[in-house]
Amino acid sequence: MRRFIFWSLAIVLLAAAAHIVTSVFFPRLEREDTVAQLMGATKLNTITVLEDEDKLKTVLRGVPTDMAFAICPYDISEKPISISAPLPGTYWAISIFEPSGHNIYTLNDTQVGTDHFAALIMQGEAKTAAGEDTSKRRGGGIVIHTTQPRGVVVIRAFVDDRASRKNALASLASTECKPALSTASAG
Amino acid sequence: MTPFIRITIFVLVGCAIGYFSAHYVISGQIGDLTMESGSWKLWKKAGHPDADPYTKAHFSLLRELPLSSFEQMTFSADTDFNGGSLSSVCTYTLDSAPLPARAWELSVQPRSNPALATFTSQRTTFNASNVVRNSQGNFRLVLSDSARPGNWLPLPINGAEFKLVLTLINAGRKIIEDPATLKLPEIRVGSCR
Repeated sequence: MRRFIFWSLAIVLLAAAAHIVTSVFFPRLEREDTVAQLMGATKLNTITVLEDEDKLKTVLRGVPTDMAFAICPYDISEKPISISAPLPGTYWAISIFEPSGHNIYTLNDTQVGTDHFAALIMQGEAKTAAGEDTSKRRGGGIVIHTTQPRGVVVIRAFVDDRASRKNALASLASTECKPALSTASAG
Repeated sequence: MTPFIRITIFVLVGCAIGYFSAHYVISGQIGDLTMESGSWKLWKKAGHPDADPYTKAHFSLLRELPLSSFEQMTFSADTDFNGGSLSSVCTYTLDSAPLPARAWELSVQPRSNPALATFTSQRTTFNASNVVRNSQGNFRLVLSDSARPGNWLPLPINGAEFKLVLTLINAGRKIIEDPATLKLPEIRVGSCR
């Protein structure tokens, strides 16, 4: 009887360990690999429009087909990154992902409120000790804080039909994503 | 039973229980992580910062980076209204009321080997802008591997099983807070070869 209880408990513990590895550890590796692939697919600190649909499907899986995408992998360990984007007049959104795959920021065109988006991504705590969001508008732009020095910006625009894809891609191509000329203070 | 065999059985049984219990939760087959409405399934916490590990694992293993439901809600269906697997040997109709979102897209996606799927048309989606509606704003989609009049959405021509993915962009607040209130299109099967 004692032996049966021992083996039963041992199996439960081993099953729990295997369950955790399968549901937490392996997926985390997969997620980090997904972002690493996305970050390595294009040039650092530069916006790249994913015109080639095959490449788009390789680096950004499960995304709507009727969207145009641009990505900018960034490294802000030395300088913040400045983003400036004209909005195309249809649905548009910007998202920022950390290397862990965590989506730290998303904003769409209606939330921007104007026809132009400007932001500075810099290192710092995304929230104050009181839990207040430190993202704020400064001089017409938004300051976004992240604790991670690297990450990737994903910008997407809705494409009504195949004919308007060219316009959406051109709008994304006029987005700027580059090291900021001067370092703004965290304010 | 020798100690070697005993330990081998112990390791195999323990790992199998752990792996398969995780697999069934991650795939949404057990647990309360998804919301089902007719044929459609939605991962309730997709893209949320406070998503549970299983939801995160589900999208991680698909190598997807989901956005929160405030930005995008993704419903998928791999069965028709009667529970039969969606297959391109059949034709289907979807009748829908206007969808309460700023934009939406409905796409056909082969369930295996998408790269090998062949369609008779390049278009595999309909969206809020290009679907033809009636005067009330309702619309009907016809899914078939050969051309049909109206809003025809081509299916793969090799008789493959497929799934439908409905993406709502900036859905209404009421839908985001309670997705169960959304009336999703019914997938009715027509004739089959």
